[in-house]
Amino acid sequence: MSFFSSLDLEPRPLLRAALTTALLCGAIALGSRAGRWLDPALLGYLLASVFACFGVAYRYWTWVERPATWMYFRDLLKRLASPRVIILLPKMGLLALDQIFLQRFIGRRSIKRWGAHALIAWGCLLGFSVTFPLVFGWIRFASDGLNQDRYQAWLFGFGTGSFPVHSFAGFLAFHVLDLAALMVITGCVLAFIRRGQDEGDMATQRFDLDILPLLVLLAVSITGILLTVSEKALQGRNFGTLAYLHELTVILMLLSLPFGKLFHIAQRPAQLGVTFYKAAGEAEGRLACKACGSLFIRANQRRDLEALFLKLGLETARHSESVHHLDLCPKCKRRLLAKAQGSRLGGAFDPFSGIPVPVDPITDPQTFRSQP
Amino acid sequence: MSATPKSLAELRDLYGPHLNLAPPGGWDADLEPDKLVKTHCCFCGQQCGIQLKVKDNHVVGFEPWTDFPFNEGKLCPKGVKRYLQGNHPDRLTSALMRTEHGFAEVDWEAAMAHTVNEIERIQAQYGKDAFAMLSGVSLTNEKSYLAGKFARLGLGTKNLDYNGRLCMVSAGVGNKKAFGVDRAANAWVDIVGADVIWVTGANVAECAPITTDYIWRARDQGAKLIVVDPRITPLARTADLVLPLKPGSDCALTNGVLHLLHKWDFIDWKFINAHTTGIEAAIEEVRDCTPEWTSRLTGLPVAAIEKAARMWGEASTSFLLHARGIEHQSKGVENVLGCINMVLATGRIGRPNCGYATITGQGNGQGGREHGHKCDQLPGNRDIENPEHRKYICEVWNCTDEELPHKGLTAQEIMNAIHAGEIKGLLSLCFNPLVSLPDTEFTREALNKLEFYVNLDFFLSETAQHADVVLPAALHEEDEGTTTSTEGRVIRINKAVEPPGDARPDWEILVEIAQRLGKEKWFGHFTSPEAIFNELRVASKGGTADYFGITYQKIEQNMGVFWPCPSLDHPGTPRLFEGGKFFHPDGKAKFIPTSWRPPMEVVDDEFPVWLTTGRVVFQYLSGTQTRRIGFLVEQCPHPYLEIHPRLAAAHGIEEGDAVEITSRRGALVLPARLVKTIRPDTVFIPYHWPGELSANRLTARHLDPLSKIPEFKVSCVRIAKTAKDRFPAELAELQRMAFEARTDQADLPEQVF
Amino acid sequence: MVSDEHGFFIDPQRCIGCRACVGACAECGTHKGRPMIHLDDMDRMDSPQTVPTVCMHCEDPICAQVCPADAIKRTDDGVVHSSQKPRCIGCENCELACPFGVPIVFSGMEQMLKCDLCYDRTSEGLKPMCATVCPSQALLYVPKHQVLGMRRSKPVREFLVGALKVKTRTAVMVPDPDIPLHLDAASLIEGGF
Repeated sequence: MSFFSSLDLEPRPLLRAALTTALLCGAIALGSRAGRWLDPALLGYLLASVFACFGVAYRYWTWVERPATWMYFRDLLKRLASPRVIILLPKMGLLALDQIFLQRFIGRRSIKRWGAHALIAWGCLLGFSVTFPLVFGWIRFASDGLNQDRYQAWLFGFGTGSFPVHSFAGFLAFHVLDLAALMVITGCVLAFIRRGQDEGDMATQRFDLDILPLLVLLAVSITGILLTVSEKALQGRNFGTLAYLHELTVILMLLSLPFGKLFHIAQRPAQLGVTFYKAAGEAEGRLACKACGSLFIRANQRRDLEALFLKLGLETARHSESVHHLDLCPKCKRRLLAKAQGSRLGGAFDPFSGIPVPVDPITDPQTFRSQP
Repeated sequence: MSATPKSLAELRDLYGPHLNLAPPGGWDADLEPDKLVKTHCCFCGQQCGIQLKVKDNHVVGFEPWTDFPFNEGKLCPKGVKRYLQGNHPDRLTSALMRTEHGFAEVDWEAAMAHTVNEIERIQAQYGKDAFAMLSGVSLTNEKSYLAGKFARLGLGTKNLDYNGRLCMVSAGVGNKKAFGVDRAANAWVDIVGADVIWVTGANVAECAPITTDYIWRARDQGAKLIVVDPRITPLARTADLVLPLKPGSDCALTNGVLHLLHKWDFIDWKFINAHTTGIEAAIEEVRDCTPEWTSRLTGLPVAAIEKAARMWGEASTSFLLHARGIEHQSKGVENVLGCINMVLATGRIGRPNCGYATITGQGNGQGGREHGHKCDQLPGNRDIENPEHRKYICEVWNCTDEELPHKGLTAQEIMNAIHAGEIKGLLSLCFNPLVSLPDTEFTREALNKLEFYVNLDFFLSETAQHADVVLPAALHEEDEGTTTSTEGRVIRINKAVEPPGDARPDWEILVEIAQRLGKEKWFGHFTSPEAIFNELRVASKGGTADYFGITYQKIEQNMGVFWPCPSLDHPGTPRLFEGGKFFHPDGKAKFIPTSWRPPMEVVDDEFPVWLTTGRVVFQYLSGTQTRRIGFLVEQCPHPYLEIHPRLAAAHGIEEGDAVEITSRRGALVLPARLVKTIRPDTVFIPYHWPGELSANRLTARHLDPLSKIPEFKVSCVRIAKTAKDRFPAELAELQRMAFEARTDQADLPEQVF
Repeated sequence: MVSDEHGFFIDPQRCIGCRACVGACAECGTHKGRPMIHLDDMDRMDSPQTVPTVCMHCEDPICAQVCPADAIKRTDDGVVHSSQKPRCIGCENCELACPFGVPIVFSGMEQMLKCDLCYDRTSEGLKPMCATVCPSQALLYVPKHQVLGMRRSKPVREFLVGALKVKTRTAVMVPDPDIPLHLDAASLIEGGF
């Protein structure tokens, strides 16, 4: 334990991370037919991926254990464990298409941001969807032993057909990573341009959080593209050096996954859970503000937030036995501050307190004369 | 002849008001400016300093100008969003001429030639004075000066007046009578050191928002605040004493206070004997104005009147501010003089922390009223009927006395004469009388009777819709010049961008018309605003409003120069009357007795409720500009009826109900807004809207006999609840626009708490 | 970094409800057309009083504590920022839990935005937009040592939310600054609960 405490690591997430990593290793072993289909040239990538998996998982489980996160995670687990999950899953698929793949919500933040982000995100997804299976030995391309002009694709060790090298499918298979790299490069350049114009981002962005990840992605993509350039245009000159460089950048990126901005890839699916939580809350109904009576807070969130306040040691934020601060809508909370200040000043809210407003019967004609 | 050429709905589709919601290219565009242009806000007499962000000849935003001493970066919402009047879809970019099918865009030459032909035809047929000119005080000093010279020498008509006639003209008359000069007596810094601040008929928080901070700074040092208003305005809410008097009873209050000041011996006899005349008559006039008498007329408790007089009397320094509330009355001048008498009686003027001022409402409300822009005035605030004054101006202008017309009609009187068929042609700029003059339907009838009407504007205002020719003019940020702020500070308006299309500055248009009318010799040398200003300096020399020592360069170096500034080495005069020197020939101020009389219209059984009108902070005057800016419309899209819940209950009216308000002039239907912050015998409507929503459908053409200001602030109406389907269609349209202004902006929360 | 020398001081008494702050807030480079400041009527029928609300920038922000995405961060200069874009999942916990009603969740874009003290301006030594334009200076941004000489009232930075003590960077002006400002919901309702 003293080793863990010196690293300041949490034991439970550590265990869970170890388990997650073990699961991945199992899947690799299984998918690569006990390592038979692993490409020795990709061993460095493989080790880095497993290490990154451990890091990401550790961070993920630490994150989930935060009381506020757990509030939602527990809700999602319950939902997934219930039989209604059958109705839930297709809906979730649709939502994932919108929120994870199309990312329309980013378009509403800023259309320029969406353009840059979509190119980067899709480029990465495309790249990952090819490279991880390759590294894990889940898929493999090999020249067809019988026909030198054809390539054979192997999935989980099973042959799944072959295609001609000089076909569209062949072109795609060889250049899919170039395409991914081009998308990422374009996206990163657009992102840099946008960040250079946006006063707000210029003020709030941080090198380690916002700029470095873009640089890392650029490095990975550019070294990757250079491999193709070397092979096609330079007759393989410097290919070896470039391959090492590329491997280095990729390993760096993988190892930084748990620490930097890219961790949001693991977090983002939580948005799906929140969507369902909100829908359940709407079904249950909204509760009224105890000051102004307007409906505002969803019943499930009101309950869970009170429990969360208790866990966080904020339980004294209540005004009486029956009125928690959570029972006031945001507008009434804002009015409350001014009300409190006003009562300190005493009576300033009623300018008529000193002088009663004279009320004449309104239909009584008023005569104006210069002499009484 | 000059009825609108198409239905109002069709005109609205074509020419707006539409809303401008965001800077050019949207919020996500790269708005990094090429330059910042230091200029001023166009939306009220305070003339706050502001820097406009300019990119590619477009104004794309603003940056507060924190170094400008008056406002130090502070702005009201109109100032914040003023930049959105540029790049506007409604902007007129070519000349329009009326055809059978509506307005047609025509080239400049055709519009100009037709205009000049019609002016010549009307003047040949009916006489020079049958062609009138109406102008406005949102124009720069240069344009105000030019308008005066253009009407007199270019058109040769005596009938020139301006919309300052609807603004502070009562204050001007009162100030000239009492002090011999018409300017705020102090720069605003004197407010900060005052012991007591008396604000009457001025909704400072909404109509002069930046002044609020001066008052609060005084209060931080212990000053007491007295606010006189039938409504509890945002500033009044925290005041030390609120006097919610009956509309139209202001003069009774000041008389009552003067009575008590005399009775309790708060009179500064030393000052009065040395520096004033006429105190005896003024005191004699208020001999019977006891607190009981005052209470009966104003509806205020005796105790409140006595408390006010005591607070005012006991103070050692003070500042009195008033505005349209007391000036927009058939006895506006007397109300102003009543205030001045209070100030003079206590001798608290012309020294530090002691002051008096009217808060001008329009952009150049101060400067615009000094340069011969009024029917009875020549530059330097000279009198058009004074032979010596005429002689001096004839020399400056190089004309003969015969060539210089005499006094003409005032603004409302010009409209009356048009209605009566005596005036046949009209040129107007910077004026939207169809919204701003009282008795809207009368104004509409009058406009329809014109044989020829040419209007200069940047948007097709409601009045411009009646024109035969509309010449596209430049916006505030598309021209340069000077204005004079409410403090009397002459400041520089800098050009930020070029006008689009055929649009050009008003001064260029007027000079061209004058040249085409064959008046080259008087106008040919006006090749820039500075050239006009340099003639203005000479023309004002020796007048009370003496600008001779002010140059563009000097203004920029000093962040403004206060007039009078008679010589180039003169530093300007932030505080008038120092050492008790007033501007009358004897150097003394005059007490002028103010005898009480009721408003022209008094509540009776038929029309039992007082109506008062006014502004909201989100709109400017007739709204031609502000009703086209998304944010401002979103905050206040349409007029409403402010009514006390007690009065509402008596008529079964609830919040949001449709209320029909009827006066002797007309009626309108507006939604009720129930507030306990207005006298229960009074209702209030903001006046910025046209047509079926125009508060001025209810107001009367009663004028002050001296200042000829209409009595906007006191009318009598009856109210009745009516069906909501009687709301004017324009109201629903404005609500829709305001809603779209909200939702068209970047996402707003689904759940609006 | 925002200088520690300057403080933000709110005096709702002075507010005139002109909404210049709202309009100006939208003009700030970090806000882009979306005002982050709130301007509410206290109760228009009774009074013209209006209430401006900017972020109080708590020392231990509750919004950040209740954020499941760990998306709300307070920088070392004491400024609590809008949610981090990659993380925020729009759950509304912050909006509902903030003791002062500050954060705004824009559900369409799944993001919470809030008053960030106009970070693009204050980090360069300028004043925030709202406090620059505020005509009555109900919103005041000045060096902390200056405020005592400027105003009759004094800044308080401690609040009792019910019985929970909350310390903030932003101050409210009161006559007696040694006593925390007690936000008591009973005061909103005539006769209490």
